[in-house]
Amino acid sequence: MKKGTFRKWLYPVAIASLVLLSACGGGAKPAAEAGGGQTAATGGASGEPIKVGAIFSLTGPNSPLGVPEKQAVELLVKEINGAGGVNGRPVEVVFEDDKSDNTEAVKAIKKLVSKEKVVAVLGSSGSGPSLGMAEFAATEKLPLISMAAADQITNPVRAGIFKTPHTDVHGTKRIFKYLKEKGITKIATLNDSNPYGSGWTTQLQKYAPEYGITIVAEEKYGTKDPSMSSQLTKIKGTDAQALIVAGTNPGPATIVKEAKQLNMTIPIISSHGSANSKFLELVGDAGEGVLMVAGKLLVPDQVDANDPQAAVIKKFAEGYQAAYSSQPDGFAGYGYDGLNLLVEGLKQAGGDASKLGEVLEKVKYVGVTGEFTFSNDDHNGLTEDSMIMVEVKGGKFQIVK
Amino acid sequence: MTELLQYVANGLVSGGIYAIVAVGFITIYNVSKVINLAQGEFLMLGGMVTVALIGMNLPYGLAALLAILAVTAIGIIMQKYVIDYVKKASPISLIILTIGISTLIRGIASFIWGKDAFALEPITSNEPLSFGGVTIATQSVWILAAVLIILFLLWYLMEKTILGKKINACSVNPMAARLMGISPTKMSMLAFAISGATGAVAGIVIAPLSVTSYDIGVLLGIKGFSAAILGGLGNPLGAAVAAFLLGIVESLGAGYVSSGMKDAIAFLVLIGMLLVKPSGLFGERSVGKGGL
Repeated sequence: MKKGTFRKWLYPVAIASLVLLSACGGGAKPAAEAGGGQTAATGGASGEPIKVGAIFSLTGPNSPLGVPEKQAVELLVKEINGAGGVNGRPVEVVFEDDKSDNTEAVKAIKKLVSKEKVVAVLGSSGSGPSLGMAEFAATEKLPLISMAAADQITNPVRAGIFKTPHTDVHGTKRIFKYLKEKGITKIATLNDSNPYGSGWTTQLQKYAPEYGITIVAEEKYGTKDPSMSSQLTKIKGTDAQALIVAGTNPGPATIVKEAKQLNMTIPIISSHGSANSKFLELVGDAGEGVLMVAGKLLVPDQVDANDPQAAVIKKFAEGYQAAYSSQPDGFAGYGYDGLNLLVEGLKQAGGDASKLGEVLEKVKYVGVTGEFTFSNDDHNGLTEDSMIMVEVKGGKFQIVK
Repeated sequence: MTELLQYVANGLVSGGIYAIVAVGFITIYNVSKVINLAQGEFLMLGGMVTVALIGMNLPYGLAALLAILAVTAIGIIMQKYVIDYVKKASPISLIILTIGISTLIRGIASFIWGKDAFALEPITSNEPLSFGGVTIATQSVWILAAVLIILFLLWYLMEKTILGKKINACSVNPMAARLMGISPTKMSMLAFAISGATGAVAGIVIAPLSVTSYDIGVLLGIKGFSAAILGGLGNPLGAAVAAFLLGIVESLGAGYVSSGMKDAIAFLVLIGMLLVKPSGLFGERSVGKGGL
């Protein structure tokens, strides 16, 4: 009798658990803004337009990255065409949304090539989609500039494949440089277990010996975990002098809050994945004194006037603010630099996109993300010196000199 | 030793959250035999509505109260216009239906508030409390207090009031209850209202600990559901004990084994326990009982 009733329930309950678990994986809902196949307006330049594709994650979990990237590109296209385009020809950008999905990204790039006949592609926002697109672009010999973080996009180097953001290698080196200056040798790490956080875990391990740093505790958390207090308790019990956190919001914000609740006193250094105003909003008072590694665009008004990037950052930040009434974040900067690099390359190649891959390797470009110097063995072109350390003071990011 | 106690303290706090969710599952299950998989969404709505109302410059207390009332109303609406409407459906269809509702609520929430996370100020001070080396947030005290109050009120309602007897009657035999002039539909509606209210309270007290967003209900729903099953579906006290156990096992697993495998360890223990005692820890008077 008991066994019978249990059987009766086993089936529905098992099905229900399965559905719940699978629902757990893909929480993405399409956001209001969809950007399939729309094109940015062409402006002052006349003549046959040069068609460029741009695939960003406009919906899905990566949409906080893709939307500002698209906005920055739209703004820049108007400016470029207003100033005469490329050798008198206007640039036309065809946008596609990869829905934060690897397969959709590859479908989108194939469509852009076969239907729209684009000469080069920007994107995508996430590392997974970018890797898939890079694979296709490399075989098609289509120039591609990605806005995603993963080191593997340009490592190993492939002809015509470039990327604009700082990598976890840059972030790791910049943090270690800071720790060395402060005489800190023992650290704990608490990173997201997703590809972004795992990338950081690998690089932190790899470069620690070079800077004389020992990792005394290496902890992980799940992107959706409501609490990381057990990991923090463990770290509190070690002799770590600083805690490094790599993840995208809200994880790092939760960690900072819980560290305060546990009375942890060691400095917390968070990665550039969390460097935006949302972090400040989420942590509130608990954020005071938190350190972060970031691009200079995070604090446009604090960049040293003698910095080669100062002028370009100021111009971009003001233009973006005027157009969208919000501060541009790092992602907007990646999109901006991507299109600028592409246009710069096209100009130097005399409008011939097939030469873009070779030309870009010689381009020197001062962008909002950093000073790009590409070469035939570096298709990211940045160094850790273009990153800064900031501290949260009075609810704002302040550059640490 | 301090470290062990700290892990247990952390576990008690997360266990408390799971307990409120689990009790919500059981309250509805006992009366209507429906497993309401939108329970986690009640919790999410509690936190998110409070944040939204505070954003409209309402005082904290009023915002929280309105949020609880709103979610209670959603619980009642869900019972009246969906569950009751298809009461002849099989349990499996009803479960799928509640999954649909949970997805719908999440979708609407992400449409209204976006996919970003939001912060809620702690109810009282932000300063941590320390007991002989074990540190907990003041907010955690609120969470544990909320769990105990909810458990006590439910126990009082079920055991000491006529209304509770009526609810119990519907649980034991809806047909006989109906013959005695008790409306199982009304009792079921009451159960959804209680679940909505307790879920909203949970959502409000846990939001200040970390953050709240449109999708926090999914994971908490699974954990609460697991606790409800482990406790022996149908037994609120058993579920609460199981929830605290689950929280503590999770915390110890993260601390002493591997934080990357925290959930895996907790669920492994859960599976192990269910293999030994398939009807749950306190399940002798529960599974499948009633009019099904």
